[in-house]
Amino acid sequence: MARFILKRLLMMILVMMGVVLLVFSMIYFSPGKPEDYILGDMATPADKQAFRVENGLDKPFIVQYFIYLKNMTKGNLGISYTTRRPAIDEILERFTVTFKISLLSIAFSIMVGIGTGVVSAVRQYSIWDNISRVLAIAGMSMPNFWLGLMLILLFSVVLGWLPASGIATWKHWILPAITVGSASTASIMRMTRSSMLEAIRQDYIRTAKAKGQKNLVIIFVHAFRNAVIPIITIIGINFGFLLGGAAVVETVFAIPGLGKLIVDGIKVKNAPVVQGGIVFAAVVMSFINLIVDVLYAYVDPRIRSQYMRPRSKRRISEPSKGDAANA
Amino acid sequence: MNKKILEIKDLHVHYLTDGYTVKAVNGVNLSLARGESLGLVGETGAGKTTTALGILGLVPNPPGKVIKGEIIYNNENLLRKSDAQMRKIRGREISMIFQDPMTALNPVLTVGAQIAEVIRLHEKISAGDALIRACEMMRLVGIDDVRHDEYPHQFSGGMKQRIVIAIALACNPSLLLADEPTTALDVTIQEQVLDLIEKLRRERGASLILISHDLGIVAEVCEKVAIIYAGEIVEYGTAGHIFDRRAHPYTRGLFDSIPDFSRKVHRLRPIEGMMSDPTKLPEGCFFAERCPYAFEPCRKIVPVFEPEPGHLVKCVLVEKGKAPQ
Amino acid sequence: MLKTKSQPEERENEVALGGRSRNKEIFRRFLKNRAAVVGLAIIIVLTIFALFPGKIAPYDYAAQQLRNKYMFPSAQHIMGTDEFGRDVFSRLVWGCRTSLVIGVSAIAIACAIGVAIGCIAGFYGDIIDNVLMRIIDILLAVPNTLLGISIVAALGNTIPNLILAIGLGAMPAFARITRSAVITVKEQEFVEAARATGASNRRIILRYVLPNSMAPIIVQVSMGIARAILTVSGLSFIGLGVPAPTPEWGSMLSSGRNYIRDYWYIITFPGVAIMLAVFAFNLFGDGLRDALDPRLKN
Repeated sequence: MARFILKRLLMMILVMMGVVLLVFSMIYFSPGKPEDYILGDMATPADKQAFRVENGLDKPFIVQYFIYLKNMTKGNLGISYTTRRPAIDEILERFTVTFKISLLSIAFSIMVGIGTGVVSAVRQYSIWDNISRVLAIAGMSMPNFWLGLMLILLFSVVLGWLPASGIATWKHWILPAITVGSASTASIMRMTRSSMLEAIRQDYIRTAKAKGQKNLVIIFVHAFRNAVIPIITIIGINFGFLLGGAAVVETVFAIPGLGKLIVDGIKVKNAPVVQGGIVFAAVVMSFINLIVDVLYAYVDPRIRSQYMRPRSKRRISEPSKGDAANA
Repeated sequence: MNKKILEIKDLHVHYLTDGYTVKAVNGVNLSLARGESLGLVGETGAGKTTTALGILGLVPNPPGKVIKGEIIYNNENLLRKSDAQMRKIRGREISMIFQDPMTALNPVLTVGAQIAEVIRLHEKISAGDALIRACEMMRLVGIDDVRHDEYPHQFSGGMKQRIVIAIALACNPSLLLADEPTTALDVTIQEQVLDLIEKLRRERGASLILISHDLGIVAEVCEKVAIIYAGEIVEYGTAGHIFDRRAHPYTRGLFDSIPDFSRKVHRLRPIEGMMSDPTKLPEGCFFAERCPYAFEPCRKIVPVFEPEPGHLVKCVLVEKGKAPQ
Repeated sequence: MLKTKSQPEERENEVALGGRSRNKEIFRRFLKNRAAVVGLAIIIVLTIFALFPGKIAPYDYAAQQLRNKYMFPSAQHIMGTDEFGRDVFSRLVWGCRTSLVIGVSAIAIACAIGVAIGCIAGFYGDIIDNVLMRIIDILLAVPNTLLGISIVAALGNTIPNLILAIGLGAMPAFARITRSAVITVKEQEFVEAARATGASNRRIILRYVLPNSMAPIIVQVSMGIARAILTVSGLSFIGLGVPAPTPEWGSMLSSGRNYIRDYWYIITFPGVAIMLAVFAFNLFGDGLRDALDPRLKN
């Protein structure tokens, strides 16, 4: 297992170098220069040159890239052009907010999505099942920023129960979390339903029934533990969407998150903040994917035994001693 | 105490799918004495498994439904019992060994836990004691009990079936249903598994219904044999009746289609045609379409005849004394 | 043993012809799925809107009637008017063209590149597979919306750039799906048989492997268009999408949100339009998946 994680971490470093290259060249080769945006119209050519030298922009592309990578290993993502603060500080500050929304909404999605999905599968084609399936497709189809606006309209404007913007109190987090989480709730529900349906039909469910086991235990112990792998996958994928999706929803609720930081930064070519922000998000996503893979092994003994004995080519069903002994 | 442990009377089970009604079981009558073993023999789709699931109350519903009939177990009709009452019977009174051991075990639970589960369900016993009992069961079926914390995928097919047998016998059931217990296994292991089932059953005095399409296996294990065709018992009797004095043309066809190495036969004679479409069964004898001896009376309702005591045959030819020799 | 010789040939014929009766069967199964047919119907209506917006929209999408601002839906303006007195319905009809053009072209690009990469990676395996898939990993590592935002912001928000940004974001999914389908298909007997007859790799991929890997790709096209429409509207909403005055659903929402307290209908209809379009492509994709692979149907 440790070997596997180590291998994945090494791979992650390579992928991150690629991500940095991608973002780096996107900003480097795009039209417009940061000094024009940052220094304004009044700046003299000498000012601009000073700015370039100060931020290392006078060096060739490839040199800049490796300097950036080198600094990155020390946790230094450069200095924000606009605020003159270390980019990493700004990013961490904003990321905390985005991550909090993402965590809240994934928690919401997991609870609601798995709950409805299980009930839908167990009561297939019932009214409950049909309603939640339609709601799920609707939820996947709704632009989340529009859902946000509609929730504001209902709960803030009409009912006046919840605040429409900002992050001052816990009440402020409710609408953003639901808004961001709606689509993932829907897809978790759909995946739970279909993999539970698949699991319920397996022979081992019949074995459990033949033992005299209660339905509730059969559903949650026997079926759910087998159905959970695709559900974990979809939760992992959705977490990635959430980080991105939060960026748009942050605009709706005027929340100072990572998405807004990147959008604002990109308009003025604030490269350290934009690059750092995107790379940071990518690192977080890669870690989530790694956690998901480790979780697989935790949940499914078949996957676990693949990692446990990476070298010995042990077949899935080993020739067993017992059979031979009894022959 | 009643000598009969199980009596099935006029059982009908239908499956409703896509607007069709598949008549899987059509008036099965069977009885089984305590400690006796019965072989239920028939082709794929003849309703063998459905009958067994019916006894346990596990016919998948939907689409399956028990239309009518009685299943009397120890003087009580199982079809009248509530789900909670049936759960107490399943696994303790009546248990089942399934056809495919590859899929019958839950892949994410250890085999020890899966055996212990059935023990804990039916006995007031701690988790630790249940596991100790599970290990005893593993030894009993010939598996080293240090492997109790391994998972099904770490065992071979034959070993998995032993675990399924351990689960089925863990609570000392009075009736064991074995649904093609050796079909999915390698030929070399079939014999061992069959012997194991038979040995443990005898030791514990359990009755057995062995479902199979293989007459050889049935001959080895069973005292009584029932031949099922299109959801109906067409012939029933002791192993002697069926193997030596079979009367129903279908039973005869079954025997002709298996190789007999003691005799020189040029070719096997398969039964012509296919089993009747279970969505539209004919009037009268279901086998008439394929029967080489069919004649007019076969199209009407066919009663059951008893050419000798305990040997029941559902065929008109038997009455007329025209049974082909 | 006798059978093994004829089997691959049979399979091959079925494969090469696509099996007309098989297509019929798929079509029949699709029609039985009511939700999928509803999806298809909505897609047809949207396509007609997108093809002939001038014929359907009652007003010019840019015509301002400053005297008739914020009008409540009425017989004259069935969805009311916006802050410049423009007819909301007409703008929605024209916006449909924008969304579909971007969505369909982006997915066309994503599909073409993704399928090509997936085929090559899956078919050749080894180093080629490894290199291509690591590149895909890089694209997958960046959250999709952030990737879109940065490409559009870096290159400027024009329609071609939007198509590029969204296409690039959608491409990895196609590559991965194709790759896994190809890996499964290439192990099958008829591919072996084709190789034995001396067919070139190119021919094997185009004629045998790809046609048999189509099902999941087709489904992904439909789902991908749905997601692309959502992304376009999202980018437009934060001001990085289609430039004014081209009507686009997301930017209609973005300008309407300032009046949310007084004129709810201005933001309601564009939102419903986006939802309906995405809903239709999702339903259609679901229906296709069930029809193409009945085993997956629950």
